[in-house]
Amino acid sequence: MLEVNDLVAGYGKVKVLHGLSLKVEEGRLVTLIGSNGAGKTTTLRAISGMIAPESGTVRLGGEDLTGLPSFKITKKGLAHSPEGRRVFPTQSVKDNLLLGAFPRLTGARERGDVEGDLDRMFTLFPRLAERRAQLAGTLSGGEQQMLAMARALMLNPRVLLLDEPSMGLAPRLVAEVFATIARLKDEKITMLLVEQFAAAALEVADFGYVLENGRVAAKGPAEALRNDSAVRAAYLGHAH
Amino acid sequence: MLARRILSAGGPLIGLAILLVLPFAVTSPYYLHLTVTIAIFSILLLGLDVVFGYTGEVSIGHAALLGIGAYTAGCLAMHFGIGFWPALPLAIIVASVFGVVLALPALRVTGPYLAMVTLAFGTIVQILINEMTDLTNGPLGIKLTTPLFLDLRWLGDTIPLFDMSLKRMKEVEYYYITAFALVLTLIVINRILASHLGRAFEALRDSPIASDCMGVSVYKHKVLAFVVSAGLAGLAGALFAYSEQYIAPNNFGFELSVQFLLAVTVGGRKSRLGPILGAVIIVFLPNLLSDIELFRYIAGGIALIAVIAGARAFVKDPENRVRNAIPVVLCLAFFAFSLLLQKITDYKLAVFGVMILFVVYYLPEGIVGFLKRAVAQLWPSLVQTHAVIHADTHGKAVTATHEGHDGVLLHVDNVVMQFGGLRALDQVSIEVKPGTIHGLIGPNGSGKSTMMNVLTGIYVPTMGAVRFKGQDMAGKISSDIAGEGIARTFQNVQLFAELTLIENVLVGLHHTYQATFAEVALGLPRIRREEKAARERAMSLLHFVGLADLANEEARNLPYGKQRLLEIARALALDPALLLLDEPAAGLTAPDIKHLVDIIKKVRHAGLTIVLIEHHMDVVMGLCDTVTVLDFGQKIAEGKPAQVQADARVIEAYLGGVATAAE
Amino acid sequence: MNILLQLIVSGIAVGMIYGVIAFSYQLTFATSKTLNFGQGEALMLGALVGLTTINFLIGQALGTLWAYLLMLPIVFAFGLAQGAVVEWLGVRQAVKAKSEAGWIMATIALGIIFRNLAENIWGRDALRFPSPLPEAALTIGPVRIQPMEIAIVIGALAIMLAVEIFNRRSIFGKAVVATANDRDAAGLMGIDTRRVITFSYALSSMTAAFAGVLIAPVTLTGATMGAVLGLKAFAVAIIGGLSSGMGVIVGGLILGITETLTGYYISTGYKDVPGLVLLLLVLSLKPSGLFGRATIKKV
Repeated sequence: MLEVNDLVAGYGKVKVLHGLSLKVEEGRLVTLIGSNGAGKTTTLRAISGMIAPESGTVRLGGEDLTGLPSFKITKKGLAHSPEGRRVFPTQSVKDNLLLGAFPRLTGARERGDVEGDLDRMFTLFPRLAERRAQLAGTLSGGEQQMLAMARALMLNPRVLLLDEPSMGLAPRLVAEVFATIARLKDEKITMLLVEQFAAAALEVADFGYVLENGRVAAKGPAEALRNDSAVRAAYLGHAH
Repeated sequence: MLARRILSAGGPLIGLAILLVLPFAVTSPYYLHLTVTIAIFSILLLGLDVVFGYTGEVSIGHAALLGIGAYTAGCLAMHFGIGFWPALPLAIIVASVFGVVLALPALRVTGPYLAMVTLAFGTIVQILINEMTDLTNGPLGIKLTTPLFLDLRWLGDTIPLFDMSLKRMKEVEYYYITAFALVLTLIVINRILASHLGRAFEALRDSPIASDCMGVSVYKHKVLAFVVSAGLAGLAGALFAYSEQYIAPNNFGFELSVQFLLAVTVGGRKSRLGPILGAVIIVFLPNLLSDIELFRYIAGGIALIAVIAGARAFVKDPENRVRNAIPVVLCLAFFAFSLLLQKITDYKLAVFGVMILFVVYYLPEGIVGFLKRAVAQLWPSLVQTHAVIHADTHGKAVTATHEGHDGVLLHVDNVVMQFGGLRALDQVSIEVKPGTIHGLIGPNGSGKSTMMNVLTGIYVPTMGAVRFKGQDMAGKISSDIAGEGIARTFQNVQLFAELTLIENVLVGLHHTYQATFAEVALGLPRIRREEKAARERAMSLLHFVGLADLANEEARNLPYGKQRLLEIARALALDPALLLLDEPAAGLTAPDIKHLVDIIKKVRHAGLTIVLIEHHMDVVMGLCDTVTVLDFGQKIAEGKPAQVQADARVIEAYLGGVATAAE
Repeated sequence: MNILLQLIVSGIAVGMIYGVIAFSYQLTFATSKTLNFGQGEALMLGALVGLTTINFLIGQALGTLWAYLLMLPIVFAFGLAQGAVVEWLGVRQAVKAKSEAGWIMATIALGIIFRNLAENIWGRDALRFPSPLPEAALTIGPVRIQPMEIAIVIGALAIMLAVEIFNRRSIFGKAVVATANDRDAAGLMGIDTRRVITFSYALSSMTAAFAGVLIAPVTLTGATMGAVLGLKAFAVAIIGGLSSGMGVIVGGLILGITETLTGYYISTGYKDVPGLVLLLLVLSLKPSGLFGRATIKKV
């Protein structure tokens, strides 16, 4: 479904990704793990058009998306729940969700049942249902994370990119976030998950890539990576 | 090289020669008067360039400053009979005071806000001149007489005076006086801009936060820039008043301020020639626009050039044909407009507006910048945008003394940092021992960078204390903390992008200068001595990090890895006791990291204490004596690297979920 | 006491005008962090286009009130187009050319061009704008008030309310607010944020043009009417905070009333001074405005 080839990207003079390739097949959950600064977030930003890649290609269902601005890529059906949640603080929870469906409401994508999907989100995230009229800026960190995920899902995306949904959350909430991701996986939603918590991410994922310094250092089925010493080394350094 | 030497020494001489012989070439009194006006506006524009070009602030109030200078001269003559010569220094002083007023909001705001403030200032001044009729004669204006060449009336009537004292100045003599003032202005401005003060102006534009953290107070230097600028506007104002011999409030309106901005932009910012060229253009512009024939020829000429350039671009750059065609079409339309136009004076302002747009789109660097680029393409060796600084290295680059402060250099005591509902730091205590490298690690969002910002005074902690060398630091401003001996680097590099490497380090050495503003302006021995010493020191610091070869390159042209090293050199220039490194290895390649680690080791060896935030665990584990781990703003572990690496809570924080999974 | 009350009532109408223009600054600042330094000229053009239109309609034997109401859509359409031109020529190109502070100079230049063109089309003299409402003042208790002044207050509140409702209720309005909140995140929602910014400039100029035809019947109309209004409205936007909707109304009223008081008790020549001094003071002391929230600076 999503195919990235030889991606080189960064910010100005700073190259973060030096030729990265990955693949996400339909209905699968792929995770991208690695320490801070390895280039996980940059990968997602380059895929969704938040930054323009310098070279390489990004394809969604065979269609070349490389270099398109993010709003056009979203209209093609790629949803990105960005790092730091980035909910719209002065708008209500419900309005945030409706904005997630913006291309559907304005005719750029098939409309489908927006009202029904709203209800579905409120069942998937009951906490959001309670707070549907509240301003998103007043939600707790965990609730904002739920909202960011639900907002991305409102697109009815072909692929969902999740960037560090566990960041800055208390351990109890982290568990809740991962439970939700597992449920989405059961619904056969195609996902690319960026995570710092490697163990937990590999627990839910089908397949994993380990990033180090903007390159893929290791890849393989999640259960294989779970017992790979390379993963630990990528995070805590090599033993001295 | 030789050609450049000749050019840089010859330029001023040629300029001087032109100034001297000009009155012999320009004999018509009308054009001589215009020349005087050009010289006067040049003085003002050189000052405006300090604010606009160097500190990067847009001032739409300089016409008002010119007015203040002019009215100072006018009022002194009208009310007190004080003549030309005393009026000059007094106009400078009065305008400088207003410059301080104008700069006060600059403490809090920049960019469009400050631009509006200057616009409001200009409007207020104009209203006041209009309304305070007792002082300024209101809308009627003030008439002035031609100044006496040498005013000796104060000696009394009885003293037999030689003819000179009663002789009124001729236009040519007045020309030489303004030319002399212009030359003096050029010398003083050159000295200021080449000194540590000029570097401070540019530094605060490129990165205000880094300036403060280098001990260069942004506010102080911004005020200074405005005062210099206003003082020159005042001088220009007094000269203007006596040149025109009649001043009225609407001489100093909004349009003139905008013309000044246009002049500096068209001529070229950050140069001496640019503002003078700009002055020539804005003085001749009204004349040009009053002669329809001439205007049509010029519009035709521009259209012709545009068509030729457009045709070339059409062939050479097929991808952007539509984009490149736009200016050509506009120029042709402009020419057509000039042919249709009957009375050009009616559309003077519109033409002027179109010119501004043209400059903003196609000549953002001005004529001087454009020429420099063109020449650089043909003869690269001729052009040097920065003064090349040669210096020998001298003495030790890095020295530090750490006296025992109860064995603790930095004491962070129960610090809490609250942002709204978020506790970024929750009762964190850290003790950093002198001469050690203290690591600070933790997952994203754990509060490490917040801690850095608390330590350098960018944030004021909600609760708790920070003691450095036994002194309380909480609540001190960044530039003072830097002065106490805490230097830092930044996670997202904060170099002074348009300064050269050595100039970047020299900003860090700002604290070594004792010379006053007057000493700088006069070029007295002390400032020369200090500059020489600082340059040598800067060179040895560049040597220390291995960047000496690149000393005269602009910082923005450096590869990323070297930018990080330059930040370290600049921080070391503060002669700090404590060096804070915020993710120095982020984004570096493996060989760069090795080089960085070597440098950090050398710094420690020289006796400095280091706090290191880093995500590359190999770097942290290899360098640090002690490591503190933060998670959710709380300290969750502390100890020797190996200890921390094995700590169950740390593994949990990093890997999450099942802690044992990875082994 | 009665005089004071009368002055306050007179200050309210002009204060509301300042509030509306300040509100129009907020519209573009929210989405693009830029604003039109020639906003006063947008107001002036609105008023003059309105004047030509209303005179034409009156010439078609329409009553002044009907002519005024029919004129409004034309002024709105003109304002929208003018704002889009400002954004495209003044802001977008300048930002693209990467010239420092270029957009400030470009919008100033456009303002100068518009003013000069207006001078050549409508002349340099101030013109009288036909009042749609009776000009005889009403007497309410101790104060006298012109019907048009009441219309100004109602009209000003109405346009701000209309924009507010659009922003809250329609999906496009929500997209505008989303762009103002977080431009990158809005892009991820599939919102074309560049178009949103052009739209916010169009809306901003439309609001200013409306302010122009509101104030025109009670003042004189002419090419130079906008400059000082634009500057003082900026003062109001700063006093009220560039992000606070209530702030601009309160700020506008403060300034309007201070001005009429200064004009009466000191001298009409000085009536523009307090607003500008207030601007300098607020920016020196509390730059986020009296009603705005301070932001945390990030490193």
